[in-house]
Amino acid sequence: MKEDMQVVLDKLDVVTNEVNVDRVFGKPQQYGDRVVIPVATMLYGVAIGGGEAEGNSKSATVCCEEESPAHPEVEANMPVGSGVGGAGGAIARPVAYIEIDSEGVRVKPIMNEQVLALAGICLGGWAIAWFAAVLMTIFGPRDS
Amino acid sequence: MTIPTQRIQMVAGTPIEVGSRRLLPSVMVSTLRGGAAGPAGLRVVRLRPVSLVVDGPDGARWLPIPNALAETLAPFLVASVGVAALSIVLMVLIRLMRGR
Repeated sequence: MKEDMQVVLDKLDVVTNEVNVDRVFGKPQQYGDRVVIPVATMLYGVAIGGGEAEGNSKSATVCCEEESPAHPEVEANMPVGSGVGGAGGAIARPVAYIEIDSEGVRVKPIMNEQVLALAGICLGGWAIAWFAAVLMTIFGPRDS
Repeated sequence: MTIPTQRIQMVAGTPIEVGSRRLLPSVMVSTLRGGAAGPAGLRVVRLRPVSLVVDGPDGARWLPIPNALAETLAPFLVASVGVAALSIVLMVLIRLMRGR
């Protein structure tokens, strides 16, 4: 089973080494006299794991009398088998686009306004919390 | 399970031909590998565009591809640390003044 998992991981290495750059820069798109190339950042990963139990190949009667008389039912019911599980995912986020026209080549960044708004809200909450802590120190009850 | 190892490399992309211009992209590839020796495995790959070399009739030109979101969020991070530091200094000063 370890060999099978290694084959999967090796194939993933081949994929990541060969086709990565072409996925970051998209195909040129013609819009009138302009050509636009989308650019994205990508994150992808996979994790796999597995295990196997050798179990007990001998019969329950023989094994329990010879090897584990204290817990015969445990030895007799030892499972035999193996299992493998895994998960993977990918995220692509546009970061810019390249605009090409008669005037030249320009890189135009793309801003994710939702993340920016969320960051602003978090910063506001953070500042309000610290401001409240300072006010509590000034106007709150004294220690002594 | 072995300790994950990280590898960062710059990779040149396939040149893109647009009219008389030739674009040579480059990408930073960060790879996290782990678990090659055990019954588990992990691969995480991050691809970030870095720059573009434009080879045209008017010569070659290098264009960086900025990470605008990260550049915009950096001042937010600095501001949050500054607010926390200033508040802690104020609270310590207030407690010291009360102690006298």
